Amino acid sequence: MNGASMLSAENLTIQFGGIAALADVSFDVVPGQITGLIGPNGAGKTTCFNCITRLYQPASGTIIFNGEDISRVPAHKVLERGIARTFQNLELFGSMSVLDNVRVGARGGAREALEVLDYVGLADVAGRPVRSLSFGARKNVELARALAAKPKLLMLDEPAAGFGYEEIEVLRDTIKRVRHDFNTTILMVEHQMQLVMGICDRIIVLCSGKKLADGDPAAIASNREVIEAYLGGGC
Amino acid sequence: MNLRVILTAAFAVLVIVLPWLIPAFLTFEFTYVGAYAIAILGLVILIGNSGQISLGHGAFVAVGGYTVAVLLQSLGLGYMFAIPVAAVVCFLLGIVLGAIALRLESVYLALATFALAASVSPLLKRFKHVTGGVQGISLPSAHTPQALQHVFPNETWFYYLTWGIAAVLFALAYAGLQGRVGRSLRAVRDSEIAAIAFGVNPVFYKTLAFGWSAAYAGVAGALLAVVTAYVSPDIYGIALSLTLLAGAVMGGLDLMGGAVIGAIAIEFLPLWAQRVNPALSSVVYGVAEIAIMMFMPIGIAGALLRIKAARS
Repeated sequence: MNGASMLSAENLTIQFGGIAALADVSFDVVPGQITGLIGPNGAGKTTCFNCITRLYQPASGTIIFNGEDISRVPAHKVLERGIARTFQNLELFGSMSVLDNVRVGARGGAREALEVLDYVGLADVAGRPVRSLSFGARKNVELARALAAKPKLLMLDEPAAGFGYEEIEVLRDTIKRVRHDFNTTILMVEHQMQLVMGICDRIIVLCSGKKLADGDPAAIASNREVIEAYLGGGC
Repeated sequence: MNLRVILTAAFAVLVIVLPWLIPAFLTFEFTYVGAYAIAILGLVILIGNSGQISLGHGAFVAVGGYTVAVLLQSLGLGYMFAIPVAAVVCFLLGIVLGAIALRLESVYLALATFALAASVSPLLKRFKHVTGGVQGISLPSAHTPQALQHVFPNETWFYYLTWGIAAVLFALAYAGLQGRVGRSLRAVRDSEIAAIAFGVNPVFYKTLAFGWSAAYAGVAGALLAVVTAYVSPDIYGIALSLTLLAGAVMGGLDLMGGAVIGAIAIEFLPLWAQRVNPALSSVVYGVAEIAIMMFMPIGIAGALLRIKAARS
């Protein structure tokens, strides 16, 4: 849409069994920003992620990343374009070591992978099987795996899910630090409003597969339609 | 020094000196062990690392064996040429089976590969003009190369040939499984979605695993045919496929060393069972297998590693 955007989703539409999971959704992600994708359950946030990372093929619409139309790029080629993601329900390589998990995504070798593990504070468990780690540590392995790919666009699917208050505070700092240290752009799906309002530069609201609103946190917080959707009034 | 390095070195020395310490008939048995170890290593790659099951790898052993038999008998080629050809033929067939396997999961894949194993022997009997039908093919007896004839008796030469090829194929598998290829195979097995998101093409790696393991089974079949100097349909029944699978599971599916242990088990357990009770040998064999799996559910190699880990 505009020349300054890193990612443009244009008119994305996809149906599952006749139900529109996404209907004509368009939005932009500006480089260097943290963009939040929010909405009630079933709004189509993860579906949107899966379309961008090409795990789903939208029925119509285009996805432009850094000026290239990636709507037909195979899913396993998205990483080399510079897009890496985490998953809502952890999708780690359970039987493999923490280091090997990170190395699958790493552009470089073991040394780069270890550096990233060190960054998220997991260097000392690098040799352990990933399934032996706590939930929080495994979420960090997912983050490290994505960071090791040196992504231009980092997509976080509910990074705060399952976290308590203090862990969310730590996560807030981590995400800010990551944006700066890895010089990356972030698109994240998140339910935790405090986190979203606290760190996002821009927020896109989805509801029942449609885009409801798009703006900075202050505008979203005072948007009547958004408030009604969240209070259960539907969209 | 790493324990694994010491064990591998000790094992290599043992393999080298063994034929000078044992009678000729035992050298034959250990040549079979080497060939079985190669085939079972193929299953360790396929089942243990890529997570796809095959109940039909005996079919590739058969193709490897018959490829060598036809090349030697009808075309008069040497076995040193025929063995790599068998590997390539089986690799390509494995790729084809792998492409079909992409559409099948778990029990359905097991059933399809089982059908493959079951169809080998009837097919071999059907195409008589190539395969020699029920009678099979007798290979021209192979000998130690001229220059080495007074150093090695025939059985010792084929023992070294088999274990030499096994060493190369084990080294290749080690390098592959330790590196990017192995990580990608296991990544697809553990989470296909995440593997795709992190740049791994599951179609490529799943098919490659089938081709790779089929090539190993083919080399094993080629070596067995050369050593036995005979191939016939009845050698390659369903029992062979299941025996290889049993060897892989008993040895331990995620460890390469398990392939050797599994090969020793399938070669010597039946002989031992025969001695325990000739009338009930298959019952004794079956009970021994069940006992191994009950007490060492991650295979013999896995159990040994666990004992070592518990000590340190």
